[in-house]
Amino acid sequence: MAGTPNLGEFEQMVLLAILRLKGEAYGVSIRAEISNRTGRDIAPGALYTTLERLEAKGLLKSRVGDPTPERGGRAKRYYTVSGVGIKAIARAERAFRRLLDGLEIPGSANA
Amino acid sequence: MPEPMFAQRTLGLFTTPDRAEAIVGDLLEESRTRGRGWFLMHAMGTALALCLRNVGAAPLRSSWVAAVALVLWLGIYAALAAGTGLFRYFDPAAPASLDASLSLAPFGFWIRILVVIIGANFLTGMLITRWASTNALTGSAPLVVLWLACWLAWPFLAKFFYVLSWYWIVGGALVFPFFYLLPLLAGSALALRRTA
Repeated sequence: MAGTPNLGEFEQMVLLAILRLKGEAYGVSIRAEISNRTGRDIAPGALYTTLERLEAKGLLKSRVGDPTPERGGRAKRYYTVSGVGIKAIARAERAFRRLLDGLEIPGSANA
Repeated sequence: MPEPMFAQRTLGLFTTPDRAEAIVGDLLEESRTRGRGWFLMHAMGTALALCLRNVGAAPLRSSWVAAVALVLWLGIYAALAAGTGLFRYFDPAAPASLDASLSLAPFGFWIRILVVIIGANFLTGMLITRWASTNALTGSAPLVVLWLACWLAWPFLAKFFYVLSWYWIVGGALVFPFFYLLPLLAGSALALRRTA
């Protein structure tokens, strides 16, 4: 799987949140999804720098939506995970499963 | 300038205009339940994060640009200080004499030093942005990071190098963003607008 970039923990969370949001992923909804699913309230600055980095790596694609009044007439930027991004998540998931395989961690669902 | 436009201009220094617009839109949407303070804090926090990412994404080039920016700033500062007659108020070769000089400084000194510091930063912001901005790096970003480091170092520098009294140390820390960062960013914004 050479050429697929390795992902940090926060990058994995952002990519998974975007996948879950199925085409409705933009700054506010991604932050809300991560907060609801993980209980972590992430700073907007951390999210936007990560989105720029993931897009620069080719793991994300973005498109500009229509302007809306509640945003002062400003458009949303919607994100989707690219093919390379899907491969990177699949690779991270396989590595995680291999590491967990055979382990019994107290308090986890597998214990 | 209303806060969203100010935030958008500031963010636009470190990312593309359409991204800056989307970020401000997101922050405005969330600020309806969280308030103006939340909006401004996170808009400036996001601008700082993007500035640091800008510099971190190209560390070698950023170091080079920071060095050139510093030399440029020193040159403009010296030229403006000589032009306004600022040097006659204190001896730069004896930094410890600065405290007494500041305490006795007449009104004209403060006008001159404002012109010199704000002018040097504004012109440096303009020139370095026009010279060094690429898709991956806003020219003024390395100097912004350098000035932020100086801001953090200021209390120690003022106390142990310049041997200043506490009120000059606190006052200097409070006005630093308005004398150094804002003029630098304003010059940078003007240069980006002209090249756009």
